[in-house]
Amino acid sequence: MEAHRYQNINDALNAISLINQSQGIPKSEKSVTQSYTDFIEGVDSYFIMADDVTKSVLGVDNLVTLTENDFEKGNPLEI
Amino acid sequence: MSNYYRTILNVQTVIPVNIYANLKVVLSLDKFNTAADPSTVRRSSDDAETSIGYVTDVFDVSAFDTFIGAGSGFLAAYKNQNNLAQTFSQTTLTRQYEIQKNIFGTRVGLKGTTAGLTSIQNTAFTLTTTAQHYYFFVPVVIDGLAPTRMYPCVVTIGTGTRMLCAIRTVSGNARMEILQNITGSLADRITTGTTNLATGTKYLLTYYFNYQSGIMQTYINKTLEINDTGALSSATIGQVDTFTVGNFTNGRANEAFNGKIGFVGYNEGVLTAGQLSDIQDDLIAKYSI
Repeated sequence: MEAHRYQNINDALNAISLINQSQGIPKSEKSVTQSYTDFIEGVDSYFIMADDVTKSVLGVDNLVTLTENDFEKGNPLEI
Repeated sequence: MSNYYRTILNVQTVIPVNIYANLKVVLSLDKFNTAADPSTVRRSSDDAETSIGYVTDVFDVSAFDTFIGAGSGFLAAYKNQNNLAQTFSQTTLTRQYEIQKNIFGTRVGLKGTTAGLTSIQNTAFTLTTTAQHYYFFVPVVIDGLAPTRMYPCVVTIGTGTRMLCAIRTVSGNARMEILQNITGSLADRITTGTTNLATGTKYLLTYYFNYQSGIMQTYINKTLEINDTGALSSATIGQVDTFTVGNFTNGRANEAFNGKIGFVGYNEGVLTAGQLSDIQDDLIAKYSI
């Protein structure tokens, strides 16, 4: 899985704002859909999953391929 | 029609499953409640949203097709049909389920997106803490064996306690898995089944958590799969923060359910063997399993 990698949350939020502006999202205040995407908090980084839309808006310079090591374990029973 | 539905669920002739007080969550694009509000669907062509209703008790596929045109349709929100004030939603476009036709017979299924972050949830769900018996009913089709652990349903209770209904890939085979976290002095527990679940096959998965005896059980269709009678001193679990369908939390990587979900039912309180069987029979019939 490819993702855009950011060092801090503000950069990730700014990136999401740029994507939403480009896509005209949300369509209205009443729309359930309020954002094109959201960031994922990883270990020391914030990631935005990449697709054609995000690449066209954000470019490809900060693309990384995600591994399980980028995230904390989702299941707390796994130690 | 089963005795259970006739006498306890107050079943009507048109509505196969009416709402039983203990069936606290009923999530479906089909109609299970005469007063149910329609779902909110987004179309891919322009991201417009609309409500899609029913034809008799089934999702209105014709209206859906007309709305989405040549594109695809995604589920932005649907109501808990036992509590219409309670909405399960996904506000992030790329994490919404695609609605696919003819997955469970003629009924639609919710398909996880390729981004693998799909989920839909309610973050203000309140569990009945005195019920102590909790059942989840989920008709599914598994599409792939990755991620290695994926979650049709997760309920997060308070700050750390969870009921986790999982599917785990073991030695290249998908199997049922049931997990619970308990904050405090009681041990976390996890049990994996032994029966392989084939991809592309419809199953009714039932998960049962007993917070009095500690029993954790699962069923594949109507067959008992996991019967974990591990010790648990009666645990009092707190209020629920979040009820999530199809992921560990909202849009988490590497844990999204890779497949289709037809329905989610959640029951609080004890079910007799006959009642459990009746619910399973009804869902197996309804979702052509």
